[in-house]
Amino acid sequence: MSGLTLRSGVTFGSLAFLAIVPPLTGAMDAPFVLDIVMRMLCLAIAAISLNLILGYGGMISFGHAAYIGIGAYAVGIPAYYEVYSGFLQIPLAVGMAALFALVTGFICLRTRGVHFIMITLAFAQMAFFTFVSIEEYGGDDGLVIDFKSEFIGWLDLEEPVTLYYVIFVCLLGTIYLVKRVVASRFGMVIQGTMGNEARMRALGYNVFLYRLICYVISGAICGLAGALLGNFTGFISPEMMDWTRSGELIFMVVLGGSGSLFGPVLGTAVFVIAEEYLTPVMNLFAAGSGVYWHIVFGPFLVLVVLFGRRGIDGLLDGRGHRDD
Amino acid sequence: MTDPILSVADLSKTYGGVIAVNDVSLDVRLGEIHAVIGPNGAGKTTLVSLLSGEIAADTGEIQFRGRTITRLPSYKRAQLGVGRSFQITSIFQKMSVLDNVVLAVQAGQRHAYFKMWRPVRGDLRLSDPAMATLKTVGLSDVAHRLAGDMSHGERRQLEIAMALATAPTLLLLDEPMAGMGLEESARMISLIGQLKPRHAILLVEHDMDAVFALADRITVMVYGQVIRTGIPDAIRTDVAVQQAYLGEEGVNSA
Repeated sequence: MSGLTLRSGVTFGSLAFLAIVPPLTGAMDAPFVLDIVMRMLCLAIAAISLNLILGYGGMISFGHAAYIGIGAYAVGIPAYYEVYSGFLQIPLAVGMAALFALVTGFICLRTRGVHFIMITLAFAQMAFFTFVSIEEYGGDDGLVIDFKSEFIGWLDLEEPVTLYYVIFVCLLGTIYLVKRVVASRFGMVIQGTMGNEARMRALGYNVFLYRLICYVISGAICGLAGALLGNFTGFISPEMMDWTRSGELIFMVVLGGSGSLFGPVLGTAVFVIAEEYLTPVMNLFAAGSGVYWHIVFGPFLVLVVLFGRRGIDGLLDGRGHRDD
Repeated sequence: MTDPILSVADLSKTYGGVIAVNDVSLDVRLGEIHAVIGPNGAGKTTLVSLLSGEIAADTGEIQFRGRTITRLPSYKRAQLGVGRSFQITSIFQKMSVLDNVVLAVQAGQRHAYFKMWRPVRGDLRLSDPAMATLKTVGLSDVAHRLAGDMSHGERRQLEIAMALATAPTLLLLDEPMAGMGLEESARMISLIGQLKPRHAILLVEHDMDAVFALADRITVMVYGQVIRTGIPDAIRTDVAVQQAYLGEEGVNSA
């Protein structure tokens, strides 16, 4: 707890590094690296939102990619009607994601364990097929966003560096928000419900309501991540909310360390780097083998979970082996 | 005598074909310890769960301070002032001892649905009452230890502390002495004795020394049914009770 631990060093080091990525990639003339990091930041926000319910509340959502999709379409659909105002799109993304979380959470949160996992997956699939079936917005071909969100000339998101810093600030804001929420009375209750629900009820807590509020907050943050991702890619499709995407988000959280503040960011970073660079590296060894990068990544994940139960964060904390 | 804090009338609960609790009626007054004893499987823990609201009764009525709570969910009963401890220790192992109690104190201070900004750490409105409760049960020295690292006896004390910290009127204690050594039991007996004046206590316990040391009245349950209710001396000498329950251990030793 005292002074600079390895864990806090990595946290602040990573954030400092992320802050100087644009000038760095500018100097190296490597805009594609900036793109990779930007995508990583968007996914990191989504992973943090998932970690809020999964890591602190024990709610293993297997449908969190739906919120990314909803957030992205909340940018794309207005843009389709030539409404580009970010002041409308962003609140719409957050609001629609929160609403989806409220409605589905009301049903999902009556279940536990495997049933919860399956029902969140089912709702995400419903969202997926809903967007696949809407021909007007491109169906499964998706939708191109001509212009990114506009903020009456304050911010020009068409400029990659500006977009990068907007996403980065959103990430910082999300980390701070989750840090506060988790340390608050509300956060204590959420963590308590993960530890022992019956006890929480016996103490007088309406466990369902607390979980629902937490679920909605998580969904709303993930909606923001989706809106940012939509702005970044400039192209949205139902594929963004494919069930494999939801699985990847769980990977990122578990890999980084569920129930840790900064772990999901590290997990996302490792995931995105592996996704981008395992393929070319494997191709170096055997041409064409890179397509199967999951073959390497899968066992790696298994090892991390087996030997560092609390993910990367657990290893940094020096308590990775702690069996609790 | 004062009106009962808790009065239970004809309470029943059936699981499949098994009648776990059958037509149980009893009451508990303020400042009174009402012990419920009976052999294993008599339905004592089921009774506690029915009273706390963890499970719903099939028939019968539960009144708490004059209000019918039979159909209320457990968290609402807790908010009204029904506190319980668990037979199987139900503490938050990964939290500190203090945080366990803080969580209980917080539950007694109205809802925190939207209190998501102010940190809990350093909030004296939570930590002061929590420390006071830990002092009452004798755990103030280990307040900052991880709950999961404590001894069995200490966990049982924490179990009581959590039930106590919500400031309940009625305390449902489900085998607080379970698995305790002689010394620990003696400490627990003195603790429960201290709590008596300001609470109505329903005590489920196997430890007969504890029961006869503490109880003002005793209800004996066998196969889900109440066979006797009375003062300890009457229960001690009751032939039916001896046959059904105390016989196996020998009354003379108690």
